[in-house]
Amino acid sequence: MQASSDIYGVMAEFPSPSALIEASKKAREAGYRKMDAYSPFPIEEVSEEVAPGDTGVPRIVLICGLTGAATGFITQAMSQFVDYPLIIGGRPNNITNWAAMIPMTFEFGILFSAFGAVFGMLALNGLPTLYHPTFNAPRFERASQDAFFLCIESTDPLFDRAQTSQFLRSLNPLQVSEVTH
Amino acid sequence: MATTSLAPTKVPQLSRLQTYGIGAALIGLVLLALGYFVVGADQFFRSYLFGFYFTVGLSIGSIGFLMLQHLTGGAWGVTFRRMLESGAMLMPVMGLLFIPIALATFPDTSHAMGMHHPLYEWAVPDLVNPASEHYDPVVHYKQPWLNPMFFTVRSVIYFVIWTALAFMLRSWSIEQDRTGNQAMAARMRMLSGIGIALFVLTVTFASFDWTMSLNPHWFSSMYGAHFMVSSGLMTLAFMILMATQVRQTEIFEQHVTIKPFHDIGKLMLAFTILWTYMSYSQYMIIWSGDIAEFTPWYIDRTHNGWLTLVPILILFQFFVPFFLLLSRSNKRNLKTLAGIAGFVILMRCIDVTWIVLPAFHESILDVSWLNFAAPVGLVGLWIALFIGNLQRASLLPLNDPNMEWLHAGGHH
Repeated sequence: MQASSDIYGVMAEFPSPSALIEASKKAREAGYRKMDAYSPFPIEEVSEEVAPGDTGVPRIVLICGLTGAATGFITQAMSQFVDYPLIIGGRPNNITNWAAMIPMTFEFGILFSAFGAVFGMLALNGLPTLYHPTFNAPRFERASQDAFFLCIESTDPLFDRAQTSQFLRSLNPLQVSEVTH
Repeated sequence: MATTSLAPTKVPQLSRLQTYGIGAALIGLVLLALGYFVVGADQFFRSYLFGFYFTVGLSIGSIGFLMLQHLTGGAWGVTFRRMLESGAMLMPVMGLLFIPIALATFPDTSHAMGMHHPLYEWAVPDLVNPASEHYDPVVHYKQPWLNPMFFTVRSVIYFVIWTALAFMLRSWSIEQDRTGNQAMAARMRMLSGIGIALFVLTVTFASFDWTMSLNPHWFSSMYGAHFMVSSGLMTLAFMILMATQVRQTEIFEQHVTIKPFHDIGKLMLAFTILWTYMSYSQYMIIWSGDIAEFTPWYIDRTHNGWLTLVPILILFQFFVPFFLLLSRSNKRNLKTLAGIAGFVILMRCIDVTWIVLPAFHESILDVSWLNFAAPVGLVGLWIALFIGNLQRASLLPLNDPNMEWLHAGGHH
């Protein structure tokens, strides 16, 4: 255990998305949980293996969207019905006027949802991060071009420096390397 | 990929459903026929038009999505192609079922069938006769477009176009099943590109003809798009219900993951939003304009009890399915998804009721029981024939190059 925490984890590089899917499935079956995959484009099956379940972003977006819609509607209703009633087109100044307020209600809902999605995502994944241990892995810059990586982190209870490397080597990777902090 | 000939897939659950369809068709159509004598010819044809307009939406949605999936590709496309083909292939049947409506439009034949007035107001001869006390100059002005002969000719053109598209797409797809000829996919895609442009035009004009002209003074440029989107929504819901029947078959177990169902769930969410957008925009534009020419359509539909359907539609055709379909787990559970789909179809029925029936019944309390018999009978018939078509070919077009979408797990 002493040796394990000295490093961030063990990283394996795979030649194709399907190899990465296969490897992440096997790693999950082997009981590993604290792991992450890096690929040039999103691969849904891999996310399901390395980070199953809810990311938390959808809930934030929903709450923000509903807040936005309510804000949009109430802002218009308060100004139009209460604070500064104006008769426009001979229409009554009450809730029967709801149809006029839907476009703004909708736009506010969309705006707040988009903010919720972007900032919620940033808050949950910790970006922008200027330094990350995975940068120490060889060829890691290719993860944004044409390489597919799976990293099992040393915080995983099953992690063992030698055995985890051994396990990753058994998945037919292009290379396996230890990632220092 | 294999290029072997594919055999038709037989599914016992579908045969049982077909029996229910035949049952519903018999009950509905017998009641409808009974109503002809008990309630009267005028009501019979009004209810028949209502049932027809509801049912034809399934065929229209089927052919629309069939062409769309040829153009876009994707895992959901190959999964649902055979069902969409089966629905589109019912176009000639819908064309035959249109004959009574055409007959009820001509003054002579409608009179011979015991009607007091032709089905459409604009076909009443008095309205376009300047000497008559019922003379309507607006209807007279529209007579070159709205007259029984041209109306019928136009509908024949729509059905010929839809039937030709359906037959070509189906027969090429079946040939691909038989011979494995990969060139068929490009040919079907090419036809779909042309077909989808024709589709948008014909469906728009068909909805103008069939129900918008029930009130010959009124017009809305959004009416056709609303009908197209509504038909699409109903078709998606119907296809999801059918998917629950075939999910357990060997061919589906082997090739189809949950992904295409998730995708079609997303499409149903998009169409729920689109339906709301169409319905609301049409209302808001007319409400804001407040012009006497446009408002009567909404006045008819918000008085004498018809207003009660509005909150039901807002709540249950938009809010409830919208929030249920937002959830990823609801879309990935076929049982839940089918529950939502069934609910959507029920709401489609209420929406079509609200759109069509106020043209015939001033008060919601005047709605005849025949209006329930007609859709039950016609949809029952549609389902029975649909399943017949579905059982005639392999449930998945395994020889199609697009099957790779499914096998690759649906990477985009």
